[in-house]
Amino acid sequence: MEIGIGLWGMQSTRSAPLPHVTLYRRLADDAQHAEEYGFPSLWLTEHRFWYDGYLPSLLTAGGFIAGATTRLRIGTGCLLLPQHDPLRIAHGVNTLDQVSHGRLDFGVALGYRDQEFDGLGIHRRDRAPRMDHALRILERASRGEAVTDNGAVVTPLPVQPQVPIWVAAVGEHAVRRAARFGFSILLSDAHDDRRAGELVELYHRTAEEHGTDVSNARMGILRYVWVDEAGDAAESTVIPRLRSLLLEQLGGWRYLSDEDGVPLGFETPEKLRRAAEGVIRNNAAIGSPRTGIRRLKNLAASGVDFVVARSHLISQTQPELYRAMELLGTEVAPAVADAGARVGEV
Amino acid sequence: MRFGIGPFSAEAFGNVGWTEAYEVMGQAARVAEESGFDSVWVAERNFTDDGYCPSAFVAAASLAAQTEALKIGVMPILGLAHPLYVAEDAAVIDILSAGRAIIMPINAVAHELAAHAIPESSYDSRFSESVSVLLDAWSARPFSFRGEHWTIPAQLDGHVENRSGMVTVTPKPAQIELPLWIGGFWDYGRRLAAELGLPMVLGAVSDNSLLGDLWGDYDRDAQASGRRPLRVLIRDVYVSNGDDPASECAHMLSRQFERYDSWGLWSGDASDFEALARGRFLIGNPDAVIEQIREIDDRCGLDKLICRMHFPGMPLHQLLRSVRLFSSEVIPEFRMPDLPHQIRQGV
Repeated sequence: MEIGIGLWGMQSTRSAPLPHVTLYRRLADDAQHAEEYGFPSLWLTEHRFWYDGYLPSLLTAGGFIAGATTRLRIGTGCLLLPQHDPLRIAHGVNTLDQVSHGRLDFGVALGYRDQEFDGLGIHRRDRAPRMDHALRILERASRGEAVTDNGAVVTPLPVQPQVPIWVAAVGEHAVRRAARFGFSILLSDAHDDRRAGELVELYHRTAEEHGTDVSNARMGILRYVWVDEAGDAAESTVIPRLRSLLLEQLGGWRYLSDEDGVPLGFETPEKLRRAAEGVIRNNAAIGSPRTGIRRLKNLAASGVDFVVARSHLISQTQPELYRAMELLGTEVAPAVADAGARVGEV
Repeated sequence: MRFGIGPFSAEAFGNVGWTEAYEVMGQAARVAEESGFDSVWVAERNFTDDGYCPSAFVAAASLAAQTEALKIGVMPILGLAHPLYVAEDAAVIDILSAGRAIIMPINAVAHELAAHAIPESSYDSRFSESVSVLLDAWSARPFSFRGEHWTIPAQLDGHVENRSGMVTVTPKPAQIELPLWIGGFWDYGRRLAAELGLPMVLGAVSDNSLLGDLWGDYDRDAQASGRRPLRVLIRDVYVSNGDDPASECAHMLSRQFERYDSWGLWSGDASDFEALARGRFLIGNPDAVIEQIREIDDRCGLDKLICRMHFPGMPLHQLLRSVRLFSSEVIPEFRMPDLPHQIRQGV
């Protein structure tokens, strides 16, 4: 199992209203530290029209990381593809892969906030067909094939023969679609280990039914991860931060849902709070390196082979973050490197 | 006078592949930063056969990470996709460069409009609406916009979250007023810039004999602003102490103008290099180039000269030689007008 580091959304929140200039200067520092601690990749996250200045332009921020680092892969986790113009994104993807010498991991998600679609004049209900259409264009653009009716070809081509495409998969439908195309998946931090295992199994079953070659596909997941030599210190400092992040952000976005799949917003505070506690108790790896290793090995046993470790929350200081990243990169990651086996190989 | 370097465009040509072309851009920017230039520029074109950079924001963001003081000039095509994408990218690049961005939108050319299935007749109004949206989006206030092409927010059926009828685009640029300069490579762009009182940049497609009239028209239309307009000019520049500097770069420049011709940005015979170069390129040994710049400056009063010094196919060593010679011999003449002649002569 491999561990990438995430997620950077460049938010200046009500509780930590740092200047955006400071946050982006830290992004360059953070990326250089991630490289030094041996992380294979750093992941960015997108939203728009949100009060805290959440990063809306992942490929531009990716160009900045490319200029600040030399080996680190740049992950979009995730770019909300249906909210974009596919030709514009195809140009950005190919350019970023050139600027970074082939270091792009391109993750895409549907997006869910009405307001984001509406600001751009796009129907939210069209997001699934828009996603399919855009993915087809990206695939053609990466191979130098025509992307428009009049035969236009995107140049330059990417450096990588195939820029890895990761699809955020929350529900079974998305997992099946990704499996049919052979894309890698990024499961949600709202999935517990057992659910992650079911979805990985569903992915492989679907791929087999369709005869898709998924030998290069990765089974990824987002997880809140924070390690500290003193396990109780990790819990006492990070859990309140994580709780405030979940309640403040996820309530606004209706990201979590109840057991019936109904999205939870600020208008159902009790349910939202229960869902947030569920994420903290069941889907996070917070504590000593030993705790982190144990929890990530459990996850690996479910067939997940890649974790975007969400150590970058919002209100931690840089020294705190770097200490946690160093422990994660140098002690936890090597200990779980051989954990699990890809389900397809069992 | 201030000096910029670029616009870079990272085409592959001859022995130089795409990836190397982006490396050249970064290396040249780092050298330029220590050589008296104060800005670096990246332009974009889409769907070219040589991979002309199609995403200026992505390439320019990488330059922002590799420099600390250069202004980061970005020349995105406006009016193809939704203008809020450009507004967001521009705000982000201004922040990640700690307030160093200058945004200079340029016009789409025929093959780009065709690929996006946009009728040429609608392009002027798409461009002007996009400029309005950029200014609204960068302001610190919520806004709404209703135009011929775009309505923001759209308030489409079934969207329930936003009932305010307003949108706040975030994050905001680091600069209180993000500089917006209009590429004056087409008639409509020049008029729009004058109308809005925005700086207008003349480029390689306008030869020296036209500069006076074009700026005169702009001044007449812009006079309401009451401020002396910025005079910014892009020129192709090559400096060498060789016997015949033009012969060292002629083939590269001719090719460049063949492409401008094919894109409809310029028309003429690019194979007649002497005719092409006359009154358009700044080429020669340092003294000759000083004289050429002086001639334009005396006539038009330049505030900033953006020097395109890299042409597709030019090896890095040749580029850096020209950049270093320009920076040591030419820039001080204009950037340091009070330079004591004793220092100039090395006493």
